[in-house]
Amino acid sequence: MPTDTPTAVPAPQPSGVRPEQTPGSTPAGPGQPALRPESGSSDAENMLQPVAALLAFAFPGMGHVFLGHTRRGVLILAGILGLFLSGLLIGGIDAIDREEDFFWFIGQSLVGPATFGVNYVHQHHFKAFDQSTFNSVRSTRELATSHQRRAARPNEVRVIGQKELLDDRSSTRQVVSIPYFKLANPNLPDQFPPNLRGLGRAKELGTLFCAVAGFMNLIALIDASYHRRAPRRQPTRPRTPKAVA
Amino acid sequence: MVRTCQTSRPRRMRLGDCLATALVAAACAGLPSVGTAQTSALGPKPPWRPFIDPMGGWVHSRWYLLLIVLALFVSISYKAVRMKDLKHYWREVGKMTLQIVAAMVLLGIASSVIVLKFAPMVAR
Repeated sequence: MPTDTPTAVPAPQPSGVRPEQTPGSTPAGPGQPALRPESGSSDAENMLQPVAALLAFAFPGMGHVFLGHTRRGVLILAGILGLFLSGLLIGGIDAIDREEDFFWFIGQSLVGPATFGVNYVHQHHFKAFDQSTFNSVRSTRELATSHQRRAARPNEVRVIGQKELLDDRSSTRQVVSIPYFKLANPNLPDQFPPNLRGLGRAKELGTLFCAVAGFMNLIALIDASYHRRAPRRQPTRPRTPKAVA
Repeated sequence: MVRTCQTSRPRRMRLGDCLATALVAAACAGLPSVGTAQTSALGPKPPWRPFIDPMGGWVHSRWYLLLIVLALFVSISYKAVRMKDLKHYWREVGKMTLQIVAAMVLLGIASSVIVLKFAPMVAR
């Protein structure tokens, strides 16, 4: 005979999850250890992680390492740095050039400060002015605004000349170091350009590798921004010293 | 040492002929000139400096091999982001690399069929 008294029906649990494993649950019973809620299981920690995002931009994979996913971060680092360094190896330093390949540089800059560092070195330690510019320039403002640095040609060497220029701000004359290219002397040793320009496939693939590295880091950055913290490890039980026989 | 490679080109090139020509051209491609300085018409050419100069001749002739490297590194970073459990990580990376390479090969074949078969038909 059916009765009207309600029977206690256990609430359905997700498959594979034991009732005592639900976040924030109380101890399952007497004698069982109290379960510590996982760090990051609350909704508040599933929100944007700005520090992880910043770290992921500063260095690929560091956002995941910060969140406790060390192996994941190291693998992301290996993939992205592998792409970036392969691009530099294939295309040379000419693969990253903010002045001449600006739109490619936007994608490459997503790798982080490494791209800006390589671009700085390329612009300031490999490029230089024409020799005619060095001969004709008269003031610092004229040097800064009206002439662009360029890459070396195969028969040129990069030298640094000293020239006295008029400083427009203080209206004084000062000696300035100006890098410029001059024709190489084939009779002298080591008369080489600072770098060779990338052409054809090497240039294309080098630039492409570095840009793909940037977009992969963008994916990793977005993932780190909304990633849950890794659960903290339970403290291991201290081992009892072996009984001395 | 100068290597020469001449392949005769028939009037109507079939797909098999095109693939064979590409294979012969790849086999005849020169080796990279690295290690010692060389002299060209524009003056002395420096030895290859890694990460400063672009890579030598084989990149221009066998560039498609680098797409495998590209697919491998993309798979490494993408699977590290996407997989919830990294238990079978390297197996998944290998699988994704093969999928990307197979897709590129199929796209290349499809493109060559369009260019060599359908485009001449449309042009007639």
